Amino acid sequence: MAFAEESARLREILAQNAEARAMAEDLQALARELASVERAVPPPTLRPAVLRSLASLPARGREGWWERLLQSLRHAAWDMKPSLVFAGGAAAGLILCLAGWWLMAPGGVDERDLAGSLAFRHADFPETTMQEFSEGPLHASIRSARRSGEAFVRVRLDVPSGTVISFLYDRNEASVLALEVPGGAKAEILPEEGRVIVRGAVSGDVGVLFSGKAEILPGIQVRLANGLGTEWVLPAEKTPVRQ
Amino acid sequence: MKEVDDNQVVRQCLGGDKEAFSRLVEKYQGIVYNVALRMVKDAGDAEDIAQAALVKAYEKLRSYNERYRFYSWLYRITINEALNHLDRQRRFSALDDRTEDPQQNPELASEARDRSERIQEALMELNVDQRAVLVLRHFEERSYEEIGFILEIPVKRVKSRLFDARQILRDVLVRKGMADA
Repeated sequence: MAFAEESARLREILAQNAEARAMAEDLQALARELASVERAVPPPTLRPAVLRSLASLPARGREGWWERLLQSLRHAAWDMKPSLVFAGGAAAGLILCLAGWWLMAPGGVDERDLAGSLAFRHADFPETTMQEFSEGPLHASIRSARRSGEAFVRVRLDVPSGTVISFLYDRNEASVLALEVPGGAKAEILPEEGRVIVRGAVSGDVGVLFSGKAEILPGIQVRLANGLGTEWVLPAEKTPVRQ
Repeated sequence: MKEVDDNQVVRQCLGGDKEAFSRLVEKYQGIVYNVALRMVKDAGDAEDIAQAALVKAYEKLRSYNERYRFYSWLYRITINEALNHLDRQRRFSALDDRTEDPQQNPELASEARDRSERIQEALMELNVDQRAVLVLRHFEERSYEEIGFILEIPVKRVKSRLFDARQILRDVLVRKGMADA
């Protein structure tokens, strides 16, 4: 019904207004031009390539209850009016801020056990060094924080695809406790080489939490390689800091 | 040939029947490839994007909601893959200045004479958001509501973006001598 009404209204406007008629004719000509473009036939290699990729993936099972809950929330959000989604998002943001404030407050959480939490913005685990790196399209800022026996190194990235980030540490003195990488990136911990390699990160944070045998860990080095043979070596920390 | 019921196939996949997904690949490889091709122009890149989109669809199958059309969801994945590809290309092109000059490649130059190729070139002059909305509307003939779902924008913005895209494309075609001023 609404469509019929709109069509009638459009016909009326076109009958009365020469400018609108010219515009509609232009639009029709453009649509004809675009319609003249033939559909391309997908290459015969596409389907076998997809099936080969699928063969290496595990079968998809039904999701767990938490995934179903998240999905239903996402779908519900899509169905809602934008204003309601905005209000819901703002409320959720407020709750998260309050929760964050509570967690950061002294005495809120015992952060001595940092494995798996990677929370380092705490009075006991202050930021000790920070350096910016920028060359061509590569931008990275490296922050490191230390406390007794532990070091956290985080690289905030805005780099082209193909960049490889390596963290080099003394394997006799330190080990990797936890790792955080942005979506789409793949990380590899090579304890025998004293190296963590992250590939496929384009933007976001790459963080590694190290644990040391001694109270003071030796310096950890960050390397960025652009895939074209150029490598930048960045000492994450110039001087180990005792807390 | 019997029409494949997308939701039934998805349920089979989620039930552990991995082979079932090949029917969806067969059915939708054409639209996925064409959308990718209109977005990026290069046939090789379009094949890579189509492959990545179809594999991602399988990986994310659990997040698909049967209330929406399967192909709308697949369009969304394809467009996102194409946008990611263009973004990576933009970042990488700053490092790699060995871009091919079509004038120096007789094969490309001859292709460029083709009308479809010139329309594709004109499309590439739009920004990616405008191109996406135009491809979905004019090449894939999707409704405004569906385009809104695929691009995750309100219908109102679909319409305004489409209006801008058409105006710009028309100007480009006029400049290329393919439309009257």
